Amino acid sequence: MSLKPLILALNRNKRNLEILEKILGKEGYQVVGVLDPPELDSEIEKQEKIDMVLMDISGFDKSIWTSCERLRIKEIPFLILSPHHQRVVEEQGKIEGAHGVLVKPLVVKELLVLIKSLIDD
Amino acid sequence: MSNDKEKLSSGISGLDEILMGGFVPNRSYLLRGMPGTGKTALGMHFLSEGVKNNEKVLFINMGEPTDQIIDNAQKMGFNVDNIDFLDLSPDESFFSKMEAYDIFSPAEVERESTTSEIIEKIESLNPQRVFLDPITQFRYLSTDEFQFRKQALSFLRFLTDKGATVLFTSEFSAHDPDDDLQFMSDGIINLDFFSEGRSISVSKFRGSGFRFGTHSMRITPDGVKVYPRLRPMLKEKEFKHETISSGVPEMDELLHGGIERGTATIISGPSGVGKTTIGIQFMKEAAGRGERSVVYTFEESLESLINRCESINIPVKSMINTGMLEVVPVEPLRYSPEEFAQLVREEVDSNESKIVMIDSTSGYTLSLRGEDPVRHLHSLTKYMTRSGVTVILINEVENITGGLKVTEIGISYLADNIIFLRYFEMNAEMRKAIGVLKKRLSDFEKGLREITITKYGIRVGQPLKNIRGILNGSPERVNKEDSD
Repeated sequence: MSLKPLILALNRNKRNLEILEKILGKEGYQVVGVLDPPELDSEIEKQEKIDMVLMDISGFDKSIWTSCERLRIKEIPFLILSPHHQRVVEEQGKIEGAHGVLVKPLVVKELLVLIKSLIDD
Repeated sequence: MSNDKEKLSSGISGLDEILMGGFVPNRSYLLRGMPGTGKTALGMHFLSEGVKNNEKVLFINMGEPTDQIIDNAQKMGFNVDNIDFLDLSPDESFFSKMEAYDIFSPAEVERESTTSEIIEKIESLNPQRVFLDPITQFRYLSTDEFQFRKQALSFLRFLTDKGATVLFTSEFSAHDPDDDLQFMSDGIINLDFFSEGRSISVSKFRGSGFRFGTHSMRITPDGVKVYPRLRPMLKEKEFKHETISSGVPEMDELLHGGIERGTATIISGPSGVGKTTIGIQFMKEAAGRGERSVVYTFEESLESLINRCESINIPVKSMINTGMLEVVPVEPLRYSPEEFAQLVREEVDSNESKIVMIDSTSGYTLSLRGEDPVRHLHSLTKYMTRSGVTVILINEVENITGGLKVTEIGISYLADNIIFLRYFEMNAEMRKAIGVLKKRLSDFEKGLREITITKYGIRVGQPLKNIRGILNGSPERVNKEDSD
């Protein structure tokens, strides 16, 4: 039996999650969507193995960095999705251990390549 | 024109004429126009024509919702029963269901579903005709111009490869030019709307000739009508070059037999001198031979014309009743020159009318919308004379006497024959003279004759001899000795 790689996606916007699930699902990934940091934390506790996390920071405050720190400690790779180009976000993201900061709208192909490289590592 | 049979009719006869038979199949055509220029109506004609021929037709609507299109089409009398619709217009859930997302651009998310929907439909229906309204919607589903161009091109190719002939519309503005679409289409039809009326023109048509220039278009309750600009060259009918008599022997003498078939004659003169009467006199004689004539009257009403002619022994009423004469009053500003030409052409072609009179040329230039009606009058006259129709143009000049001037609007070059009428004063009495100024196909009498219009008809006298100065309105007698 082949286990599908599990991607956790944090996003305020339900429709964004649906689209992510559809697109990544087609590529053979299992996607679990969460709407806020507490839900993310409980999912991290619950799941046995999380291959990576997509953190869309739009709509969240600074406390989001706590969640990032937790991922870094657990050595779960993650990407930060941001609505704008912001140097603060990019710097802070790197400090918190993000493997990349992407600005929306994303390009599907690029995202898939990034995910693949992170998971294959 | 052997490939005419292979062409696809557009469903509008005038447009087919401009396209020299119709669309070349398996190609894609761009229909350009501002909002309200009739793009969708033209597309409906295109699809309905396919339905008539038992073809499968598909309407891909990306702007207006289907029920709205159906409603509008039915109001114009189209039968939409056998037209397939693929509705890709945004529906109300676009807003209400909070479907907004920002993680990917719409181009990435929607394109796939839109494309697959179209492909599925095309493969299941296999339509021969597709109308895509408007293709510019694809622009929003493309990340950039290059992508749009590539996608539109491959999409059109996909449709034509499947055996469809495609008509697609574009919405354009100075901000959003559609040059790229113009390059990738096999033909371009432009629709325009001016204060003088609608127009249609073709600016590209691969694989076939087409009629250049701007043609007139009208959207009527029965659909779109196109009136191609007349081209006299198109037609040259065989006809007998003979002289037709006026029925007044003295007038025939003046004209050395009458006027020739297939020529244009200007009858020029001041108001009330009898120009129309002389024209009708030729028609009375034609009716006697069993030939039909038509008068387009821009000024006089039908009743007044009938009464006037009846009172001078020209039986207009019975001529009309037997179908030998048709009097068509033309309302001011009702027609564009192309539409009027079409009207005349139908009359000449289908009713075999032999004499056509336009009463008057100044009425024509004033009543028809648009620019340069004189040029249109020229091509209309040429068209008719080449088909053997005798054309009579009535021209009113403003001077009552004197100041000889043939026409007011510079149309004398149109005429093969010019007959002129003048008042002159003799012993404190207004009298009328008739003369011929020009006759291309035969000689003519150079002298003037007196003409009177009586209750028995037109009377033309013997040549006015020993009088000079008639043309300047105050003649004097010449003694025989002086003139010798």
